[in-house]
Amino acid sequence: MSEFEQETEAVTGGEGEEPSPPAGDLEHYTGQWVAVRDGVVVASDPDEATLRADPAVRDSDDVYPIGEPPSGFYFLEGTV
Amino acid sequence: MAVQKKVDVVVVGIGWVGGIIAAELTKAGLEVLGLERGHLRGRNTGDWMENKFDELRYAIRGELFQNTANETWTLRHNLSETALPMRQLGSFLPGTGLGGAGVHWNGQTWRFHPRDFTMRTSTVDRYGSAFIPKEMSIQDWGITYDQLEPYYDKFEYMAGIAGKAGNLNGQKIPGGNVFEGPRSREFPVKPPPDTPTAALFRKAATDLGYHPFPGPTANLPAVEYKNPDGITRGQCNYCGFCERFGCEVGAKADPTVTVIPVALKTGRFKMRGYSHVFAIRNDGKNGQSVLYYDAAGIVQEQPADVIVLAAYVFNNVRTLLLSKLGKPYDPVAGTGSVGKNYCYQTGGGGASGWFKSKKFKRYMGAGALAIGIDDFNADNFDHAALGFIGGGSVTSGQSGARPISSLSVPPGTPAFGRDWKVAVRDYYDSVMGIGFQGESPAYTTHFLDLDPNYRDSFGNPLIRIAFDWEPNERKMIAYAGTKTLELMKAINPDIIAGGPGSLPAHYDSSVYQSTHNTGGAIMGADPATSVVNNYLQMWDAPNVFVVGACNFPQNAGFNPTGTVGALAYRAAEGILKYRKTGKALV
Repeated sequence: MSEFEQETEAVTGGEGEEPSPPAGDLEHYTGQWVAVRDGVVVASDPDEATLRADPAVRDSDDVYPIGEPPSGFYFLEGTV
Repeated sequence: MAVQKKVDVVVVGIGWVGGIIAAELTKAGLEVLGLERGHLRGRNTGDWMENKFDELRYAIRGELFQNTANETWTLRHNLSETALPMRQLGSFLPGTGLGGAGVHWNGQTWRFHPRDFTMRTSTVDRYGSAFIPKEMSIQDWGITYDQLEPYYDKFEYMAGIAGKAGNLNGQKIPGGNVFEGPRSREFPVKPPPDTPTAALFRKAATDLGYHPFPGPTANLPAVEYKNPDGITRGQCNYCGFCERFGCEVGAKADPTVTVIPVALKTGRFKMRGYSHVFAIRNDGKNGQSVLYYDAAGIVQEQPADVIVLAAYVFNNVRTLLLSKLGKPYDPVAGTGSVGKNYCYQTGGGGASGWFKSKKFKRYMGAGALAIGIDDFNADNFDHAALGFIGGGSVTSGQSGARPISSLSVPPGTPAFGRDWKVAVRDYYDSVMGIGFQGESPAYTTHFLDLDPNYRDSFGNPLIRIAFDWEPNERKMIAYAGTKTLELMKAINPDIIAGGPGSLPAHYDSSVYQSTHNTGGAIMGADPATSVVNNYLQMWDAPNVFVVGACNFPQNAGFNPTGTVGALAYRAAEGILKYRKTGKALV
């Protein structure tokens, strides 16, 4: 096993397991809603209602979506 | 280095601020010199006739914008990142040359709300101090809306702004923006009639119980108007080439067709192009001269009794930092003010609609031809249960549909090939958008300083920007998206795109978003927390005035030019007062 592969293994935690993103790394959650407490993501889900219903999410958490990076041209004011 | 003949006032940058101050001071009898880092082209509108409609040249390749090969900015999202330079223009487009960004703006001319000038006090009064996130460094401006109102009025009458008042001396006027602060008189010019898309927006907004009004515009509609200086301009022909272009008929108010001719006519205003100011020579108490590189790259010194920094946000702040004038902001110690409270504009949360059987003549338009509602701006709605501060303007505009960058197609359309072409054919003239332009509150970690690693073509450090999106704005944009979608659903197009708005994981400087950068030389009532007083006079050097959007302690949910213009008139008055007393005005 190469040094690079060893490092990758350590980060992902091994085959079949979801990688654990570093705290505060919002890029990992692009396209999802996140619940954030004290600067740390405590839960995420593609659907806002499902996320808010998650027992791990408190009413006091910040809940918002993480968007895609903006696209190349700004076609029209208001275009999404 | 050559030392030039001393002048009464030297103005650094000849855009809206420099032009207004030059006009006001020369009318009062002062000798004013304007130093412009770019060209002096555009002194008559004929300069924009040749190849005016070349979208590639002006809009894509950016002929009127700052050249990042000579001077750019570096960006970091937080203090632990190493900032990297923006090697191409992206999220914002500062101008260069005579008239500055005032030549290639759209013409949207707003007044900020009374609450915007007292943002901290008003927020605490309504929601309590705990409602403000601890990292948020919003503060009051040191001037109230009522104090600034006469200067707003002066700018609007000089520029011939068209619109409909919604609050005249405290009386609410239906059809105007009923949320605005009191105006002392009506707009100088009546607004243009609704476009077809504006009519759809107006009906939907009214049906939903909101308060639509025509957007205030500097694109002179089909009327003749003579301003208080005796200036007349051409009428807008709705060519749709405003933003990123000069106006070949002078219908768009810009400094070259309004204030600069007035200053030149006095015979007391001189201009020098290709004069790149980089520092103010000073003794820590006053400025003595400005230092600049001439067209040959040779350093020149220009002495003056009064020095006015009237350039773009980044250049004003950089000149102060390079001059070691004022105390640089330190985000860790919480000391100093120069560079503090850099803010931007929070975009996103828009909605779009495509129609199968409607045509809008989108190839016609003007930069500020728009309708809007202000129901979700500032503190015009109750934030108590929403968990964020601030809001933004909701508008639907028809600014023209140019051939390269205005080809909007429904979601799911391939990005190229036959199906894309069919969609462009079917929807080029059948789409409308509703946009949201949100506030950008100040944070302790958002600021400007000098980059330790990267320099410009003259060898001086670049400005380093520290900025990223924060949870407050993410919640605001998510909320805004639900409102624009509600409006679009009421309009009922065949295809809709919209929903809760979102910001990306980090601020992305590579894609255009807004040229509304603010802060870094903020105004205030306390020398410990601001750079200039409410005459835009430096606390640390009474003969130095620093003027522009750099004075905003935080940015509002509106385009900034109306407020920049008002501040310029305020500064001109302050300079004349200072000339009489030679002292700090506050």
